[in-house]
Amino acid sequence: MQRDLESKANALSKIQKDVSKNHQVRKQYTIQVGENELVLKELELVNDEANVYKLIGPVLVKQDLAEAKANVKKRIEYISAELKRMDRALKDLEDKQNSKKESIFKLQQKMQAVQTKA
Amino acid sequence: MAAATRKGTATPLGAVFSPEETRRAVARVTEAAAGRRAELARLQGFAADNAALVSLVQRLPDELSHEIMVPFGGAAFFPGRLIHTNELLVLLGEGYYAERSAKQTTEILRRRGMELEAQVEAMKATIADFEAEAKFFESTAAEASEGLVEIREEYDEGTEINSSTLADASSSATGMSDKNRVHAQIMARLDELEMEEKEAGSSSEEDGEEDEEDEEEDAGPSEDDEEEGDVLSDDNDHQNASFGASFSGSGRNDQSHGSAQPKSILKKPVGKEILKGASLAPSARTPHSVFPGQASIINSEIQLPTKKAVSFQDDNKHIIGSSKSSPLPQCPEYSSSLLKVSSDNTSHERKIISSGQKQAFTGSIIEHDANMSTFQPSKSEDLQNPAISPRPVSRFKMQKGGR
Repeated sequence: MQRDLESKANALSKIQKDVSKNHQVRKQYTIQVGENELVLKELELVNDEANVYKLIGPVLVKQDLAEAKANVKKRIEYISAELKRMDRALKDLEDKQNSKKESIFKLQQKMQAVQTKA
Repeated sequence: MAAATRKGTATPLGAVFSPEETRRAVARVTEAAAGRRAELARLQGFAADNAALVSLVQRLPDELSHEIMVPFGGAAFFPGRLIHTNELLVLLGEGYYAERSAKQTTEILRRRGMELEAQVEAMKATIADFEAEAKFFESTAAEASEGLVEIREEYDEGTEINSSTLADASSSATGMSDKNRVHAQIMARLDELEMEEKEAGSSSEEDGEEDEEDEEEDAGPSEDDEEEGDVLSDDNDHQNASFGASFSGSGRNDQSHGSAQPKSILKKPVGKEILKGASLAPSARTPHSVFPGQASIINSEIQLPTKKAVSFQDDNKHIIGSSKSSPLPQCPEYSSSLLKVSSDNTSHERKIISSGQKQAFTGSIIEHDANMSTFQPSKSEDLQNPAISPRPVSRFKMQKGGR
């Protein structure tokens, strides 16, 4: 019984770590999405003749405005999809976490009952 | 209050919220608030930088070229000139740069500044929330350590009403003994006043309301004492509760008597009355001013147009959150029994409404335009015999609608 409890506790802590990691990644993604949306807004405001450059490593490369806009839009979509996926994964993890907690709790109760009997 | 017959529980606050834990909660919340404050400082630094940049960019195109000391390497400078002063490569984010003129750059920077400001405001709001939480915890901890006791009693409406006149002794705990004594007088006066109001109309409303408030107050306590054992409830809560009760009562009436009346009731003048009542109510420190008009304000300044009745459930004597009852001026009779009403949505006072309403209202509804208090004397006795099934006064269960 003890061993069972320990293994369950380990699984629970692992799940909790996953949940916190998920949170962090989600936060990062959210920030990125925000930034990309800002960029898109500015790009819309730039008139067609202006030059847009992209920083690739140490090089500033001239980019076509339309192309740049398309790229940013795609990035936004990609990140949002990722965010949604993470949300679902987070929910799953949380459900699992809760069920594990319950089973641990029940196990603990059983153990207490056994101990009091003995 | 038949305290003797009723069972109650007195739980020291300290047991429910141990002072130690509350203090720890306070520490936690203040920590979180401190973290947020650091973030806020960072954001404000950004905002300051942005402003400095805007002023710099605006000065650049003033000259064809600027004489400057150009940094060279890590620790050297050489004199040089800044040319093309109107052409700037602005970082838009995510590695994207755009060539813009100075004016366009200031536009971009200004937009960024607004974004930053919005973030700063949001951060300030969260910090304020945290601080409020911390204050609440702090006060709970202080109360718990002082040994404040939460008292809960079962509310048995039948016994309550019957014993209301003898309530003096029992009311000492809640400090409402005075009201109990006057209860009977109040009831009689209430009846009179209602007649008066009927005749006088809206003009006398304010006065009537005030009178009613006082009266209601007295009437209320008797019922109150029995039901509410919670020492911590505020007067305001009572007020709200009573308003809510009368409000819901009227709502109920609507229900039972069709929707025709609510329309009449919901006229603007009524609304005004209600507003008046509401403003009066807070000033009157009567815990139970069950003035229907007032109640309606609490419940629905916005809800005036909705005629949905009720908050009362037929089988349930509890008042439901006043969210939907339209103010029907006919509930004055219930005022005495409506002492406990769950107040408007925001306040969570849960008091049991004497169930008398359901039974009491058997006649037709008297329409009173702008006159909230229409007492129907014939029905007053009905109010006295509510048959509420005794149940523990769980404040949170009392509300209908699962609020």
